[in-house]
Amino acid sequence: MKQEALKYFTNINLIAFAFFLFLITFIGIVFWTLRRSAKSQYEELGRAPLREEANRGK
Amino acid sequence: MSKDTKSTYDDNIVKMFVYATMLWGTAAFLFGVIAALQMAIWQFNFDLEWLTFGRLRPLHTNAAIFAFAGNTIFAGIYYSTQRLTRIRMWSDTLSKIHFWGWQLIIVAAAITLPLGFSQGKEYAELEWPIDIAIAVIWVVFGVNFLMTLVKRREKHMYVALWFYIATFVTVAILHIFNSIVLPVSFLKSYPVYAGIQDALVQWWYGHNAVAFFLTTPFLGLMYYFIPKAVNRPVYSYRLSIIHFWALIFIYIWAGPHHLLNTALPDWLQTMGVVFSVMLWAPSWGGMINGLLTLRGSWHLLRTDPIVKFFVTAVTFYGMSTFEGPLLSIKSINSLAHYTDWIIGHVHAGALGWNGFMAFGLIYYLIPKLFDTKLYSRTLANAHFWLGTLGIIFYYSSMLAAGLTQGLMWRALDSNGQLVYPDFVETVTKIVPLYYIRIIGGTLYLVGFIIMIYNIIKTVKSSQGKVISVAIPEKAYFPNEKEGDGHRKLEGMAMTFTILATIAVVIGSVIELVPAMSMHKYVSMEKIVEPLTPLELAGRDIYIREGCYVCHSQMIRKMTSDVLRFGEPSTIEQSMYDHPFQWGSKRTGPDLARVGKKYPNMWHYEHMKNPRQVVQNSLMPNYSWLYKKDLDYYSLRKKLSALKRLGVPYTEQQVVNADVYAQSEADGVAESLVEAGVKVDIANKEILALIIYLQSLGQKGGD
Ligand code: HEC
Repeated sequence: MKQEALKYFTNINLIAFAFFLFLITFIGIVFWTLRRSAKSQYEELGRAPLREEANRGK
Repeated sequence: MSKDTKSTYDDNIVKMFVYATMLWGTAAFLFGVIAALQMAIWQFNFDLEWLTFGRLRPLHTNAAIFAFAGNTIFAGIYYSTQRLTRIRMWSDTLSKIHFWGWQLIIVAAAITLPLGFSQGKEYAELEWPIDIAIAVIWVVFGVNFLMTLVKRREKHMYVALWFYIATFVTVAILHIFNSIVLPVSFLKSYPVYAGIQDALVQWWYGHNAVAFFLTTPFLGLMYYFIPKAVNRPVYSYRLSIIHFWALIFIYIWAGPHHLLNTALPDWLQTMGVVFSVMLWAPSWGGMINGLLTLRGSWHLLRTDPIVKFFVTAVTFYGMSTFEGPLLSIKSINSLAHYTDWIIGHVHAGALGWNGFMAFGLIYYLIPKLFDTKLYSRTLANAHFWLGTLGIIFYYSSMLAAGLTQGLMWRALDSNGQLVYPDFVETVTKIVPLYYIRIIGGTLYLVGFIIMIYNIIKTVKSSQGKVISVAIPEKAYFPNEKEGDGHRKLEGMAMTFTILATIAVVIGSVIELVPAMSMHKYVSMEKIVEPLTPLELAGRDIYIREGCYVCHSQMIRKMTSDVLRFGEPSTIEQSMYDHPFQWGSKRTGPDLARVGKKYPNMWHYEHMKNPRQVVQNSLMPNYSWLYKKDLDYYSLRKKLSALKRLGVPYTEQQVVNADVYAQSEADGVAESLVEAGVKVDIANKEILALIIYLQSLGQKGGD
């Protein structure tokens, strides 16, 4: 069973497939993050570390 | 504690981690300076077994990574996580268990490593009971941290928290898989992996320990504390998200770049190179993002020591992550590998990036935690300049040493012969540079001690005032547009954690599973004999003394290696080696084929005092091996354990291991007496070490 399963991992096509899956997912993330429409939202999120201080009222 | 602890942050735990950082930092840097002294002046080994370089070096690396950097990370994570989630840590008890458990582990390491209890794998030397303790305490930390995220009162998880999540998950996986061993006794074990398999698992671990213990958590700290220090948001939040995913996707694949030009199959080497070179882009993206956060506040770089430390740290991050991919290119690696260049590279990262991030963090945290001002800016600036100068001395001397020695090793004359066939000649040449390194390390240490003085004064000036910082009463859940995929995902701490885990696991599986099926690469026609019982006893001494920190056992497929040391090492030759001892640094020559090169008597003299046979040698004396008696009794258990792991010992060999070893020892002793040894050496440890050295390269597999 284990040997059966392991057999596939020396299959270079499968590794190439996994690699491209990774690459596509990653490129997807990049495009999603860089959407123009999301710019202002992300800018707001980036303020998180500073927000907590502003609220301290000291 | 009163009920209202729930309304304040737990800053006490942060203070404790900061103090621990300062304590262990001193130890780590001090050990480093002593080790540097030993490399230049062998007398600094003091002929003391527990202080000798082979044992001190693991102590130094473990102290620097797990004690100094570890406590830094925890201090920063506990401080920033509470503020980014707007709640106190989920459980004060778990926080305390984490703190004391971690310190206890460090103490255990500080006792066992000098005593020679070691698994013989770099940065994973600690024996199995300590490994189990590390796993338990790490999970305690993780549960406390993740539960805090789950309970948080802030909708979005800021990117620093993602880096912490990745750290927790990946280090857990790395540590557990690399530490799987078969115990022989309470403080002795053999890894289940052998030879090339062990090499791949170890460097998957070793590389990613750098990635996920010394990089991702510090990047998380960078994304929180630099904006705090300059009071501006990070330059581009979107770039930080891409930085994160790029590292998660790429880092985990790059391990094989530690094994270039070795017996590792070529396609795995190529994969390691490609992914290492790819790392260049996200790393520099991250560096630029960190630096540009200062836009408009560059004047702070002149006036604020905290900013100075942070900015210099990020610059060193950029430098190291530029050099790393460069060193992963096969041709450059063939020159740099095994030399001091790598040592320089590592220290630019550790002293520059990790160290300076830690110092910036401490200078930032202590005045905040005690609601006071830093005692002396002048001293902080002095620390900064001493530290910077120290790193420059250190790095430039090691780069020069590495290049010099690397070029000498490969220099061929017009007849195709080695120009410097005498190894020790290439060592003597670089000793002056070792002196410069000592100066560098000492400057860095002095700067650090100045910081400790400054911090103590700062804490004293607060006059024991106990302050507790109230948590903002309002939670932060702004109304959001529905249906934004990635940000919804970020909202779900557990789901996010699982996805990051999957990315890491797939990368690991693809890198590691070939290792598990390495039998495909092992040729069955090449017969390899396992070590005899006494040879095995010798090998365990070799591991105990940490000979692998100075000697490799892997002849690469390069002309200069082959001319100097013999035919390239094959996969088969180390197929029964639990653990593998390929090594990563050649302060001394490769030993893969040293067997039968010299008579027993040569080794006998050499191990006692190397300078008696090789002028100018830097190798320590091993006088205690001539006094300690061999432990024949444990050999049966050892052979039996290895048999279970697949080393082809017969039942007969296991049962008679001690008797057989005794007769082997008598044989070696006899040969030494014939060669003129006058003292009584019957049953001494040196006999086993000699017979092991004589067996190297003599067991078949060619
Ligand atoms: C501080 C680094 C260092 C450590 C630790 C160290 N050595 Fe060495 N070793 C050297 C150097 C440098 C040389 C080359 C000069 C010489 O031959 O003494 C060398 C040479 C040797 C040689 C001769 C190799 C040859 O081909 O001529 C042997 C054998 C050897 N070491 C064995 C050991 C053993 C066994 C241990 C552990 C008990 C050990 N060494 C630990 C630095 C070290």
